[in-house]
Amino acid sequence: MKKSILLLPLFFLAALSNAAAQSDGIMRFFNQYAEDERFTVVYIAPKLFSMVAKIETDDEDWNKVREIVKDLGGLRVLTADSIGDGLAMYKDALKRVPTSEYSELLTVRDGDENVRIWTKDTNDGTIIEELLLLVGSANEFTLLSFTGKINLDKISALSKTLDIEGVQHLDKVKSKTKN
Amino acid sequence: MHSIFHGATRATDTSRRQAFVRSLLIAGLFLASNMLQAQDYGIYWKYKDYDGAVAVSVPGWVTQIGSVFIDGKENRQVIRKIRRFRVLVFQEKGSPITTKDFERFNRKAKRRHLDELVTVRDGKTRVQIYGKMRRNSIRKVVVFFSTPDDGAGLVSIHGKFKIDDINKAIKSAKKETKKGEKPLVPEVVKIPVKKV
Repeated sequence: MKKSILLLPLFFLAALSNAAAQSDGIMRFFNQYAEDERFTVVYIAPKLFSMVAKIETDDEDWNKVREIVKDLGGLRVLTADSIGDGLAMYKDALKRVPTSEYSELLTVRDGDENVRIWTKDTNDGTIIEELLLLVGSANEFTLLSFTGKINLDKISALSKTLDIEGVQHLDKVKSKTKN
Repeated sequence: MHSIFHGATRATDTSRRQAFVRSLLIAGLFLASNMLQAQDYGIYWKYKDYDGAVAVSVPGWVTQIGSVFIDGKENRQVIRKIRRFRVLVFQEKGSPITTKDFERFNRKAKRRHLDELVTVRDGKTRVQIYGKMRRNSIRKVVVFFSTPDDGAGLVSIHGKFKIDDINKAIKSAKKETKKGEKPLVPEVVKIPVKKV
């Protein structure tokens, strides 16, 4: 009995570290290639989104962007458009996605191009707190992660706003939510 | 007897006062040196005399005078809020700023609430923007850049830019744009990853 009580904190520690390792899998993948010159890396901090949300103009497009980004937490993009092993990288990244934490939103395979989008909901499932996009083809690879309070209808509009390779796939979210 | 004691007390008082003034001076010097380094946490001062470096430090009063030549009341107001503006550029030999310097900068930045806002790296080109915000105003912006062709360096701006002032400047810039002209402020802000 005493032994099992002693082992209890150890069990909790192991469970906690396992959970952290799961969510850190994608982050580690991101960090692994962050300094690789074949890739383009973009990181936008939540503070910048909140700053942008405070800037008001009469421009309608700007106001649309403000409306979208005001609830966003952060954005990380890792993309490459001329690498030889895009598919291998896609498969490697796929393995690191903790499927127990994320729910698959969309899968598209068109020729050699693969697109997958996952979402991570809050416990009650009402708010999407992370959106993960993975694109892989023979020469291309994109990993994109949005955090914050995400509205799927609004996020698809960002595909037109952000001039980042691979972001155009966010447009697929709109068509998916309409179906 | 009394006068001897009295004299001794006066002597201790004077030495105490001297010690107090000395410690005050040391604290003042320490604070001043900290304030000088505070903008980019010492990187500017470490490398400003480096061979091939172009270093410019513009105090607030110069920007106040310079703002007279700026068009538009709103733009002038934003320029007048600059308290110090520093540029350090290494044109030929690339940046001598080491990883250790960046690590030290990041540590100090975190401690002093200077947050990393944007990082873009495309090949050998890298841009990092840090910002400090307090009570609806931007207090500090530090930009590090490094390109294979155009050199590397940093730009740091210290001031008190209220969001309202920035809003006004953006609105006036949009008004000034005539029909058919390229707008001063882009219709929608884009992150030009491939054009950095």
